[in-house]
Amino acid sequence: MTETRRTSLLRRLRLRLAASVGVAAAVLVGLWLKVQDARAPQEPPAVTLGQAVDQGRTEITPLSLSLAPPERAGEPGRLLLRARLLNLTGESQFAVFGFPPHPPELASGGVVWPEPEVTLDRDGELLAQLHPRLAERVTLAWQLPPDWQPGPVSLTFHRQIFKLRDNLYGMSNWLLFQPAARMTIMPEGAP
Amino acid sequence: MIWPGRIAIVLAGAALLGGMMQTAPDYNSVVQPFRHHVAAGGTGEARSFRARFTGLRLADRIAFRHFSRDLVRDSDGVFLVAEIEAEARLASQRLDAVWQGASGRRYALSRRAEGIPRGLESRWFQPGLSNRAVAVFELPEDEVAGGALVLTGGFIAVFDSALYLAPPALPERQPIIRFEP
Repeated sequence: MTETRRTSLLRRLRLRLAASVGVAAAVLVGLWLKVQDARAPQEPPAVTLGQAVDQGRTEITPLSLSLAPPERAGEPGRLLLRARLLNLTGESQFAVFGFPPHPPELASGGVVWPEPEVTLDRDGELLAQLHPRLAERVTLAWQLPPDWQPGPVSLTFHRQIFKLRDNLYGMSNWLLFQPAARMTIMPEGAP
Repeated sequence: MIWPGRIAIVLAGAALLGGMMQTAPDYNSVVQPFRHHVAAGGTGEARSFRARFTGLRLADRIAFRHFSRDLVRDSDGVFLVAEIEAEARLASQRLDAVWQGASGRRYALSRRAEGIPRGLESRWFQPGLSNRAVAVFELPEDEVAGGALVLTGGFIAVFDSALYLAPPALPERQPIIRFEP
């Protein structure tokens, strides 16, 4: 009688143990997959000139990338990206490239250049805001580093995610920048 | 016999909690100014100010002088020039304006018109003293008809009033509007 009872208890214990181990394994594998997903850098899709890129609040369509002479004597030359910007939200945007601003990131030979100056082509002044349904042509200007040798450059566009309820207040918010697209291109006018 | 009772309590609790979660207003809808709709030509009474939408003009371009420079701004859309008359009720304050278009999109004051004479962004309103100001918006033309001028006090209008002023009759679109000092 005692023997039978012990066998039954052992079987039940083994069953529960197996179920617990299975659940724990599933949780761990799921967690590990998430971690892998987050830490493995994913190569953003490649885009070309004329292709629109969704940046979250705005959509940018790069039109041309060219070298230009300095604006004033004594200053370095410039690299100009002409683009079309469209506000995708329902209100005027002051943070056209998100906040903190993440304008297209230009890198050459693995070195990231400082942020560009964004001007509105329409009146040549700094871009201050973008209204819904009014697309604007803009110019993004980088100053050429003194030691830069003309060659292909890469442009990385970032996208922010819209959350209707964020985890802090449950309010709508724009969060997390992620690389949305990359363009490798030889600037026009380079020898 | 005790089990059905307990199960019923748990189910009722879950249903109540679910109901509360579904019906609780979210942050965005709770933290909003109180809306007051004002018919065309009427004077809107907000908690801290009163205002009237006195005139509306539309133009392809605007011209003004800023820091000794003559500036002309053009647009793919249209410039909407809203003239308002307002006074503060409690203390000196500034006003902010947004044009809510026919589609519901919200257009902020145009930064490209910053520095115009009597511009709303540089105007202070005093209690008991009526003052006039001009608000300039840049927007697609089909957002004008059916839209409203939304006036709020100060910087953040949370838990304060927002006046939704219906526009007066729509005028003809002018080629250019010059703002003289």
